[in-house]
Amino acid sequence: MKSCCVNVAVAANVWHAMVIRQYEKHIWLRRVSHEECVGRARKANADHAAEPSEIAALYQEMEDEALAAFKKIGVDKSLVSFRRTIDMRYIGQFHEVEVDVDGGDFGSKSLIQASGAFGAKHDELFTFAMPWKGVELLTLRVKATTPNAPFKLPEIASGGSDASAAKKSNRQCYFGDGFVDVQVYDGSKLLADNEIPGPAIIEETTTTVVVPENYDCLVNANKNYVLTRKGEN
Amino acid sequence: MNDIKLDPTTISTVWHSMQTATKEMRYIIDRTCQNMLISQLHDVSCGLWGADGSTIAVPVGLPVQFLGGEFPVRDLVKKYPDDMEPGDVFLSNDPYHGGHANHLPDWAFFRPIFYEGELLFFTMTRAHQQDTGGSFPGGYFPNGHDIHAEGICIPPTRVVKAGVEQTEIFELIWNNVRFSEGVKIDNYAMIASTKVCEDRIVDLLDNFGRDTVLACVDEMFDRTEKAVRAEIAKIPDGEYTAEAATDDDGTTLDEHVWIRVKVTIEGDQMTIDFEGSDGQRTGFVNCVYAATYGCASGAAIMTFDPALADYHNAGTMRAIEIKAPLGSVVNCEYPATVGASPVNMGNQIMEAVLDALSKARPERAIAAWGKHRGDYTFGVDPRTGERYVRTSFDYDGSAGAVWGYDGYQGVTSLTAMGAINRGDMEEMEARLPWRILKYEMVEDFTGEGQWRGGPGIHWEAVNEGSDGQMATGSSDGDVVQGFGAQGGNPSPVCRTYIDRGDERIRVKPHRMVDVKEGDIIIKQSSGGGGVGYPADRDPEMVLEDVINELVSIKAAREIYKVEIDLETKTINEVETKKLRAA
Repeated sequence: MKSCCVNVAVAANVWHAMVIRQYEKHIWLRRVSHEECVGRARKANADHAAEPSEIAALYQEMEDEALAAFKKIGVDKSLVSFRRTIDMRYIGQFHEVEVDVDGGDFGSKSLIQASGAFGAKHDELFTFAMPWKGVELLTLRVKATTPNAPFKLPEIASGGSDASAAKKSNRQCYFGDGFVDVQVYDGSKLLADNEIPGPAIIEETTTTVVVPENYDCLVNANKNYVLTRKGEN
Repeated sequence: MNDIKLDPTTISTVWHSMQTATKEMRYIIDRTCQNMLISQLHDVSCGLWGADGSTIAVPVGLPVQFLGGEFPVRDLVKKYPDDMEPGDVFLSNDPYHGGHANHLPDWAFFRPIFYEGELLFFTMTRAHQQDTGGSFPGGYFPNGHDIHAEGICIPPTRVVKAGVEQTEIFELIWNNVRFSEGVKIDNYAMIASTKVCEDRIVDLLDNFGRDTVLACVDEMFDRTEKAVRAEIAKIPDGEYTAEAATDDDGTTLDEHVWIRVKVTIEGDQMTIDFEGSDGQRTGFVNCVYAATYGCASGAAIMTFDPALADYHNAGTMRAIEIKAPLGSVVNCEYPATVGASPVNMGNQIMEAVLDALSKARPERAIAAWGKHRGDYTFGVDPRTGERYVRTSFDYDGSAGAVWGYDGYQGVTSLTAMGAINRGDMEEMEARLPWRILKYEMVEDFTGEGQWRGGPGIHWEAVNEGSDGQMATGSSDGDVVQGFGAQGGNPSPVCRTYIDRGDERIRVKPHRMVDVKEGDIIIKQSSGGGGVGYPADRDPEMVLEDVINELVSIKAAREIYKVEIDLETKTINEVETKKLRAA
């Protein structure tokens, strides 16, 4: 390992900028024939055949619900993107495979596209597909996503290369060849550009970083500890 | 190959990769097949064998289905000596003619695995099909005159040649079974699982190289053999005998069929000999040798260190010899019927071996498990207008006790060794025209002991389908009780009834009976046997069982010799002392 970067808690609060909402409609529809976009209902447990217009209405309902929810938190609908999926299986199977469905008006072609995507994914996952076989549609799903809000990692002030202001204590530590005297630093007092020669220990509230004997540590502007092997700078 | 140096990490990686590949096979089948018995209940076994038939990886499955897998693999190589190529798949369900299947519904797909033109391994998956032809749906009915009455017999047959499906052969086969559209899907699911195994093993060979992988396999055999021999060496030398019976064979009614076993321990070698067992029967309780071999070795394995469970292979079998006289009920000859084989005599084989070994090694004693209470019911589902067959394990009891522990609750019959699950009620009701009325554990319905058997089960369902028929075989336990070990009580007798209006009809195992619309089937299936004397049971455990309604106050007093005050939920120490002193 030439160098590594230890990222500590200072930047953790910025990772929630992207918002995903997921909606589901549980259905049980059958599409018996792949040639016809609307299959006939088998005189079966299924309520009725898969009508593209019904599916379109369910997707629309979920997307409207998502937009209303985003509106409440001040996200404009132009920022929201949707991913539609259907959980499908061959008639008789016990388990479904989730496949992507094209956006826009859901129609006969969408059902053919989804069936094709299902067969392809079944083949990819399980090494075979059964294109002659009818399918069941069990769950319609919409994932509504906003893009990441623009953000910048917070920066800390520079303190120059001298890290002595953060010195906390000394400790005897075992480093393979025996015990050595090690400088311990208070992580909360370290500033950007501080340099810490190994061996050293940096104590944070939530973690402890060990700088081995053959590494040096540099604190960067985002409060990352960048460890580099001695002599490779 | 001898100069290959193996490090522990490589051996471990190769070993576990092979196990994982076979576990993934079952997952592929779960996800893609349509037969509840396979996908949901797991009546399926997947494994890996060497080109010479040596068992390499068999971590998930039923002993009867695949621990004898070496025999069909060997015969396959004999039948197609220089005539196999990558992408071939062979199918067989024949107990005879090189198929070594335990019974006809268990279809096996074999795939040779080649690497750089060389045949190195075989993978096999064997699973219980929804139907296999024969006189009645489901393949579990008594009174067949010979094996041909029980269904289509497929000798080892190439159904995929170099990756190309042999459609005409498949059509011939599927045309001879019921529910063929469904069986077709399940067959594809099984073939897919062997393909995935091949991919994984070829990846493994790519990563580690042929020589290293083969050297690891040899090492795996040696290590397992060493561990198994160390276990056998812990058993005192000597001869241990036991016997077990099934109620009857379904054709000659109410006459027990016996198997007898002598287990001989000499140092670190075990011999299991079934000399003295009854001759093969007209009824359908016969086992071919491979089935007997699977059940007997499975039972022996149960008494070994559980840490070895996933690691058994050909090394295990080097230390165990299994003898069964030809023409007996444990080594039957063509054309004997074998429909009930996994349960009868499969269960009896396992029970007898466990009984003998429990005598030999008390600290590993295992009592009989609850009996299988199969019912194979068929008729028409009015919701679809189509025929159905119901094959399930929901009405089985629970496991027998082992030394130190109560029997595990809810596992199905011994012959499945815990591999088979119970069904999901909602899924069952959605797919089959039977509504479940009652499904619960029952008080005082298991073998008592210092450690008791898992609880017995009461199961009740009403027929919302058409009139039809029910085959109660393979089943057991209306007369013959599963044994208790080291002073434990045997499992109680079981009952099956049909309630038709005000009439209650008792139905014995191994029978064909009519079922009418509105009939209620009631199954009372006892739990397993106990281990150790009931009066030695920790009174606190008795109290807990009383609180949980698994043991009555009366049984606590009379059998466990513990006086319980139910109101305060406490043990009456004084009375208990008196009872136990008496």
